[in-house]
Amino acid sequence: MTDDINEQISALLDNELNQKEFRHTLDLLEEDASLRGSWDRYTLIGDAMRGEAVRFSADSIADRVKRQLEREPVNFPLSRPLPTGRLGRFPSRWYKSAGGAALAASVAVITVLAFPQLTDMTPEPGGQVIAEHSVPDPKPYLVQSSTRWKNLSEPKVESKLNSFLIDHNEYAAPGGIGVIPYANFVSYDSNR
Amino acid sequence: MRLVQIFTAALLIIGSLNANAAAMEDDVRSWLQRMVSAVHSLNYEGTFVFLHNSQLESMQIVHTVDNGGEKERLVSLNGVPREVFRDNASVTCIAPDAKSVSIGNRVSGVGLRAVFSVDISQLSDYYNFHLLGEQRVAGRSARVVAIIPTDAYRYGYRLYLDTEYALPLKTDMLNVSGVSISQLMFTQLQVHTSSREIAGISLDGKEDYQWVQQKPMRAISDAQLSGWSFRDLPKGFDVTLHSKRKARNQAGEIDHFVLSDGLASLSVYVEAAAEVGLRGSSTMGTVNAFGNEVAGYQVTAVGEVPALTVERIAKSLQPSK
Repeated sequence: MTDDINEQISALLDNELNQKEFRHTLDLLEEDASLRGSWDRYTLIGDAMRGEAVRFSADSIADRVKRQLEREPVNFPLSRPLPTGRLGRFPSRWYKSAGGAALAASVAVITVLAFPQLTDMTPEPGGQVIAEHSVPDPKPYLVQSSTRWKNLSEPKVESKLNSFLIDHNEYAAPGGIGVIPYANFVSYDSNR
Repeated sequence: MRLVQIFTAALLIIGSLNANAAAMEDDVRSWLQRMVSAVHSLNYEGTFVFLHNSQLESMQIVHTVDNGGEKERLVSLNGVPREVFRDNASVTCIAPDAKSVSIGNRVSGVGLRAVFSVDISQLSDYYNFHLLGEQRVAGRSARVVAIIPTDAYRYGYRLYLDTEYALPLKTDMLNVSGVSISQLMFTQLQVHTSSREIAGISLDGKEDYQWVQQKPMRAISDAQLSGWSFRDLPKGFDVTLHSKRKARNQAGEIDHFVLSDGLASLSVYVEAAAEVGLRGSSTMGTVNAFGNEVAGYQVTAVGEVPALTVERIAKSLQPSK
């Protein structure tokens, strides 16, 4: 049953489902968090295999893979075939050796760490992004972008600069040349 | 004989090239003048996105003109709903995050119109103008004009002007390397033939707000810089306005100098040195600021110009006595 569903998810990724299967699979995904996890991993593997830059979330990928491995049993029967939809993307020597989501997770690790060496290809810029930043710094992901004065520690100075800027906008020419005056003031500031 | 013919032909070609350049300049000039007039004289409303420092925001603008003059309302559509309402008499800035409403009175006799004019012949020493091709923005066809600075003291622009109304549908601000540092683009724009009512300011919980009435400024003639002078200004920059007002939270007065090269502009504020004041440089979006202390006074320069420019101009202010 699990493999059938995984196969459907894989086929969904490859856009190989008919309308009815498509809706059914989406419903299943909506209901089941673990299936959504499978979807994420399949997408990640696909991206990594194609050498596209992978978008990391604040969690490092290794941590997520590790947690997934701890959660899932790894003693799947080795002969069970992977979803057919994935065949076009996986070298046969990999998918023959294992099956299920555990394989998906471990392939992700191999791909991230060793893909350029295994294939003896010159990595594309996207590939380099993955290799060099395989342990991303979570900090930038956790900070909301904002518009405010940089290098200022004193709120009073900031408030003074704001009032100077508002005042200056009254006399500034940019409104005449297309940039709308006050756009900087109205500009979104999530940190205030 | 043949030489004379070649020479004549060459002269004709050079002449026509010059004529082309002159025609191009005329063309750019007329586009920019149409734009300046359109921004102030048309009734329009639209939504635009504003990208700066890899931050993307969207805002809404409504601009109307009737017998009472121009009215304009600018509202942020994401994050804190900050708002600016302007008419001929005043500017109201509402910052719900800071719970503050700031109302500034227009300096009498120094209306916006006086400042908003683009004189290409005066600017051509500091900028090069080019008319580029056509583009499509917000579903409308646009003519593209490039304004390229000749030194690092000012930003450049690429303007996409609506073919029909000459309103700027997209404005790219470019640094000295030609990399865009901010982009403002309408995603939807409507031009109305008659003026519309702009809804008044609506504030939830007005009583919680701090209302700040900015002290009115009075303009002072250019020649009288009240004891201050600028030495060694970057080429093209000159004082276009000097005014004085009472300081809000402290004794004494604030001197306000506006400097411009005709396109880029910045303000320099001079006040008695207090504990609160900018020392060094700061930046917000495309706006740069630089502050230092000169002869017991706090000098702060603020404007949408490169960091280099605010610093040099702030440092060029000296007591003249």
